[in-house]
Amino acid sequence: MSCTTEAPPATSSVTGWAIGIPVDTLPPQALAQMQSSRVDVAWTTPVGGPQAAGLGSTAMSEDTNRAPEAEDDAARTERFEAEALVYLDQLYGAALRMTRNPADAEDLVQETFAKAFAAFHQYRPGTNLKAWLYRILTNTYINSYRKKQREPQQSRSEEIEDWQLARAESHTSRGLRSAEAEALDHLPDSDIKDALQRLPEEFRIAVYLADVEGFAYKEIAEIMGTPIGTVMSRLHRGRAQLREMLSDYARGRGLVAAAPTAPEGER
Amino acid sequence: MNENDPSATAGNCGNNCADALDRLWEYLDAELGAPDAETVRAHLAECEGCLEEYDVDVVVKTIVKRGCQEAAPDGLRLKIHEQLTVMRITQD
Repeated sequence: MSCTTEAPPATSSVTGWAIGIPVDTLPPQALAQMQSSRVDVAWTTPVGGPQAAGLGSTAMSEDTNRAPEAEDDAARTERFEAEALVYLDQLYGAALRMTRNPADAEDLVQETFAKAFAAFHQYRPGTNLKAWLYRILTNTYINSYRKKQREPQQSRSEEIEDWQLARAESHTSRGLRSAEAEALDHLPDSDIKDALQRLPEEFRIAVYLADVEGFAYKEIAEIMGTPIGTVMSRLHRGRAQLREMLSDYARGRGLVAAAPTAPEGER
Repeated sequence: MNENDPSATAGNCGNNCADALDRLWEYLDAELGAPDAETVRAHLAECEGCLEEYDVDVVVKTIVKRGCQEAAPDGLRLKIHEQLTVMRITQD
């Protein structure tokens, strides 16, 4: 048989994926894992405006874009491993930033691939596989792993923004700014990771998806299941906090002179 | 810090700095349409202060990407492969 890959839909929209997971077809082990975290991996983000037409047409053509009927299990497994497993390193990196420890990251990635595989016959070739996998990863994390982890910073996420953001609008001298850019560039990767860990979760994920994975805002909205405005706000605030932390690290390492005045922006 | 440096008024060139700063990240993320992107680009070309803000934002974005490159542990790929095989057999 041939592994026919249908032409992608005219629209590149990645919305409208409905990925039901046939739980009854899973081995007991995976089943147990999943029952603890029934994850809805359907794309629910409403996309307004012109997208509506795209959504409709996508839905109508859904059947013709499904995986080939004739594909047997072996072929589908092979196709899944060929197409999805190439994202293993990236998904692991994201999982590591989410869970903040290697053991949980491995489990999360494994569970993500199990769910993706179970739903793979419903994945439409030609749509955004990477975003689809990230959606499953993010959902799985939010619905199961996060509950196990305590996140002391989380409650602060709404409070920090104002003075942090004020900084972006406060303007220091050219000399200091240039030095800041230079100093940040010399920070070790361990500082970057550390600063990211300290970001509130929803900011951290948004920043990761945008900066590390290069997803468009619209894709991040679909992956995180939020409106685009929320994505932009999380990015804005997350990056402002991140920059502030990184500048502190840079000062701590003597990479840049101490700030001339007390924390700026308390205005 | 040179108080006499004209660019010490960075971002205060009086030319829509607030608008430009608002959209800097969108510009950086290539999320702006052509007319808006052109407005920001033009502003950055004439405003040292905003340009330097932009530079720092670029550095932050770049180092985040650089600092987050990870390779999955060797055993993970194999574990997943085995798991998928089990799932496939169980489905039959």
